[in-house]
Amino acid sequence: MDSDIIVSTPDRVSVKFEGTQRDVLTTIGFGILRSVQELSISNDPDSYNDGVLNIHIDGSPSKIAVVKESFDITSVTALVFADLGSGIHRIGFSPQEGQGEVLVVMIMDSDMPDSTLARAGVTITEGITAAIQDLGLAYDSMTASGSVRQNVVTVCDKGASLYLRGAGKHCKLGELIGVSTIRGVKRSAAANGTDIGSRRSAASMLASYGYDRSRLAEISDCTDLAHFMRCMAEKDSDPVALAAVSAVLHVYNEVHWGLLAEDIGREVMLRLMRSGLREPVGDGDIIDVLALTLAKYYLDSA
Amino acid sequence: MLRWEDIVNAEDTSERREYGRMCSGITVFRQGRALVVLMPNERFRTLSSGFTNGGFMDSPQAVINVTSMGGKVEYDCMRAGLKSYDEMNNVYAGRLGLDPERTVHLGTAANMDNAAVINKVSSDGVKVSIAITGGIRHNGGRSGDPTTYDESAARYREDPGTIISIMSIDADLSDSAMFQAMLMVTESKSCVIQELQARSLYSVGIATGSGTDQVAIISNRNSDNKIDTIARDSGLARAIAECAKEGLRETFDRQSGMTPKDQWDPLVLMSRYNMNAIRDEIRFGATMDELLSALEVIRKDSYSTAVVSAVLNVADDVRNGLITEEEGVRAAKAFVEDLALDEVIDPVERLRLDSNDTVIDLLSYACALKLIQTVRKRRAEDGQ
Repeated sequence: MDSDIIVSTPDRVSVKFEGTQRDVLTTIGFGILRSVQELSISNDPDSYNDGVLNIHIDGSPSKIAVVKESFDITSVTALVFADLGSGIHRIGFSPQEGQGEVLVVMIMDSDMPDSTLARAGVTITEGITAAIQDLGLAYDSMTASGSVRQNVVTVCDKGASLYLRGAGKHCKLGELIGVSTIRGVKRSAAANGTDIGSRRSAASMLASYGYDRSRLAEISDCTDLAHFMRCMAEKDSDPVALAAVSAVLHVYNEVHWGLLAEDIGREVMLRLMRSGLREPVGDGDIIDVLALTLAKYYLDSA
Repeated sequence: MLRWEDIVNAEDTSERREYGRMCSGITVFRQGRALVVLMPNERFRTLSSGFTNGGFMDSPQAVINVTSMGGKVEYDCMRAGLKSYDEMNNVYAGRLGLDPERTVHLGTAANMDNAAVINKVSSDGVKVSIAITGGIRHNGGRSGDPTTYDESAARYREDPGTIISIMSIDADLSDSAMFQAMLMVTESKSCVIQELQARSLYSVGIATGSGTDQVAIISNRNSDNKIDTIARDSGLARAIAECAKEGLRETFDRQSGMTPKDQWDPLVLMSRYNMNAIRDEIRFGATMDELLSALEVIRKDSYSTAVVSAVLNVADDVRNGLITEEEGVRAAKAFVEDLALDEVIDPVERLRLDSNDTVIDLLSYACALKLIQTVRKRRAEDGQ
C-alpha cells in the first residue's frame, strides 16, 4: 500500500495500485474481480472497465475516511464512507426511512485466497455493527446493526510476498481490519453529522423511540413553545439525566430481548427516572412515561 | 508419539444418519465427528470463508462441519501450519466417503449433535435454510479487539468457541449476492450476541462474534430464480436474518446453555469488566459462608441484575465518550443508592462508597455493600 497512490479530489477518491495487481471481492454487482489496477469511489455509477473499478456512493466523496493501520509487516488501508443520519437498519427488520449508506473498501497489503477475502468481509461487517453500537444509534425503538445500503469491498495484493489465510478477529490482520473499520465508520459518520457528541442530548436519544422535540413539547402541556425549548436547552445535556435516559432505554431493550420480565424491567426503569430525572409521570407504555417524565423534567427548572 | 493420522484412521466413520433437511433437496447427516451437508446433484456453487476449499467452488459434493480432535494431536497439527490442517481435513473427508477436492471444510470445537437446522421461506417465496453450530462463552470477541496471534510470524493460537453457519438459499445467486448473504448472516449473529449481552473476552465490549467464525453459502444453480443482488430491506434478507437468528439461539442453548435466562446473572454481566471476586473490604464483616449465601440470593434476583446492567450501561456511556468518567460516577452513585442499597450509615462504608473515581470501582464496591447488607438482613431475620 505504501507504493499505491491515493488521490482525493472533491468528487472522487482513487487508488492506483502500483506494481502488482489486485483481486477484489465485492457485494456490489461484480462479485470477484481479478487483476484490478485502479479503484475509485465517486458519485458515478458502479462500473468495471479495463481493470478500473468505480464504486458509487450518493454522498460527498470528500467525507470518505482513509484509515491506515499496521502491525509489523501486516498492513491495511480502509476507505470508508458512512452516512448514518438516516436509513439505519437492524438486520431482519424494516429499516429507518432515508438514504443513509455505508461503504467499506478494505485494501490489504498481503496475498490471500478468496476465502480470506470473504472472511475479511465478515470482520468488516462486525466492525460496522460495533461502530454503530458504540454510537448508540437506534430507530423505531430498537438498536441498529447496519445501514439499509451497505457495501463491502475487500482487496488483496496478489504479488505480495506475505501470504495470509486468517482474517478473523483472533489474528493481527483481523484486528487491523476491525480497528480500521470502526475508526473509519466513526470518522466518516462524524463528517456526515453523526457522532457521539450529537447524541449528548436526552431528547435526541428519545427521538429514536418515537418522541422528537416537538412531540415532547406537545405532551408537556406547556403552551409557550419557546419557553419549553429554552427549558429543554438548559437541561437536555445534564449528565445524570443523560445517563438515566440511556439506562432506561438499555433496560427497555433488555426486556424486548427477553433478558428480564416486563414487570421487573418497568420497576427498574421507573426508579431510574426517579433517580435521574424526577418522579415519573403517567402510567401507560413505559416509553410514553419516559417521554412525559422527561418533558416535565425540563419544565421543572422553570 | 500420537499423530492426527492415527486418530483419523482409528475413528469409526462408517455410520451416516440423517440429521435434517435443508432447501434445494440438501440433506444434513451426522457421520463421525462431522455434520455433512450433502448436495443432491452437481448444480450447486458455494462461497466459504473457511480455510480448506474455501472461497468459491462449483459443483461441491458436500459442505462439512467437523468437531476438532482436541488435545495435543490437534495442537500439533495446527502448529504444523495450514497445509497440514488442509491435509488432515482432506484425509478426513475421504474417511467420510466424500471427494476431498469437492468437499468444503469448516471446523470447530462444538459438538455436532448440538447443531440447529432451521428452514424459512421469504415473503416472496424463496426458501432459506441454515445448519449452524456455535458457542462463544470462551472465545467471544468484538471486532477491533487486540490480539496476540500474528500469522505472519507463524505463531499458533487456539481458542475454543466458534460459530459455524452453513446457509443454503434456493435460488441461483450471483457471486455478489452470495457475499451479501454471508455478511447478512454475520450481522444477524452479532444481533443475537448483543441480545444475549455476551461478553468479548478480549475487551470490555459486547462480543460481535468469535475470532474463528466461518460461514458457507450454498447457491442452487438449478434454480430458475436468478438473484443478482439481495437488498437489505427485502423479504429474502429478512428470511436470511430470521433463519440465522433462530438457528443461533437454538444452538447456543444446546451447546453451552447460553440463553437469556442464564445470561441474566449479575456475575455474568459484570465479568465483562473483569469483576468476579468478593472485595476484601467487606469480607471482615461476615463469614465467607454468609457472603456466598447472600451472593446466591443476589444472583437469582432479577431486579438487582437489572440495576447492575443499568450501571454497566453508564460505564459503556463513559467508554464511548457520551459522558465523562466523573459524570458517570455521579450518575452511577445516584442509581445504586436510589435503586439498590439500603441507607449507608456506617461512616467507613460511606467514605469508601464516596471515594470511588471510576464507574466500575463504584459498581464493584456497591455490589460488595449489597452483599453485606443482605447478610445483615438475614441475620436480623434469624434474630442474631
